[in-house]
Amino acid sequence: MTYKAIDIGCGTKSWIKEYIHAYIPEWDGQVEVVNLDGDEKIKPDILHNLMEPMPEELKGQFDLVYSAHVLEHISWLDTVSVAMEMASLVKEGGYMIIAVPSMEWACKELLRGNFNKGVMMTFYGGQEDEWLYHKSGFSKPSLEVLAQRLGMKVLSLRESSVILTDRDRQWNATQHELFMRKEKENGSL
Amino acid sequence: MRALALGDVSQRELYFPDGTEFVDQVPYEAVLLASVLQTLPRDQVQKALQRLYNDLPDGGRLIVSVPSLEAACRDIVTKDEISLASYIGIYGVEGEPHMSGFTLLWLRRCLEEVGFVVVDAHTQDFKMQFTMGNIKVEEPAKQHIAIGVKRKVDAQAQIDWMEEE
Repeated sequence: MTYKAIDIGCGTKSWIKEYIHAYIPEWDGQVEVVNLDGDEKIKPDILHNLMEPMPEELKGQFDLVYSAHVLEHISWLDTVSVAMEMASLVKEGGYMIIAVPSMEWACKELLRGNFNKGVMMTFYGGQEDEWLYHKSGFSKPSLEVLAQRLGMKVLSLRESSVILTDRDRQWNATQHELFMRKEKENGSL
Repeated sequence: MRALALGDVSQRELYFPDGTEFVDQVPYEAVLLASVLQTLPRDQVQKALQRLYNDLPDGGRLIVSVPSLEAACRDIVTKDEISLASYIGIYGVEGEPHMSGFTLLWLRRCLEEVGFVVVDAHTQDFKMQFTMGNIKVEEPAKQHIAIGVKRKVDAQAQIDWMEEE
């Protein structure tokens, strides 16, 4: 069996296979991945601006919707509507994985007096180009609320380490990984 | 006094006496950046402060107010839901996004790095006003205030004084 997955905001380096291996290892080697991005330079399979509604023909078509380090680049005022469009691509019984920098971690570091570049980058992005600005931040509770708004069941919500690369050095930071499942209409998984 | 006042106009009367002439070009003796600095990208903050420092005369004053990043962070780590004031304090609103954030210490350091002598730096309550769609909203929040004075240091005079000692 082949599972269909979509990487939303794939960028130039996708980690979708590593995430599938970590969260749904039984799918290893059986996943067909479609890449979607708003930047034509990276030649995605689907060129799409996330501020627009998702194309109708994609809705409910994917066993997995994956989006890593994308939602923080969308204004916090539009987070729910953009995430809902993403979630509309998931088949009933399918999965969704969202990874975002942990603003909660950055807040804790700042309150400990560690207001270093890694913390600043978690709040506001690397700022090397127009896209690399953060317009929103997330905490565990805010992601739980988001999952609720999307009507998805949270299977796990965990923190993991991530390396942020600046021009001159690397910084340790933390991200949230939200793993969800879209329940079937009768409420079963 | 001639003053350059940018940003939130409601803060002008807090810092300038009656009769202050508000101008938009040099020369001016004082500058107010009321809720402005956080809207600049990180690498533009120091450049902007340096320009203002260079334009001010000796004894000139810079007053800066920015949302308190610590207050928003405390709110986020202690509450289950992130409040509007915290989101706005960190990320701003539509049309006026924030691209930099400041702790009181960081704000102070930014001013000192371009040469200002910081004569006051404190945090105070303020009412954050913004519009959501057509609705005007007011939320209690905290902001940092820092006041820097341009004081040219005469290096030779300092050395002379040390030698006299």
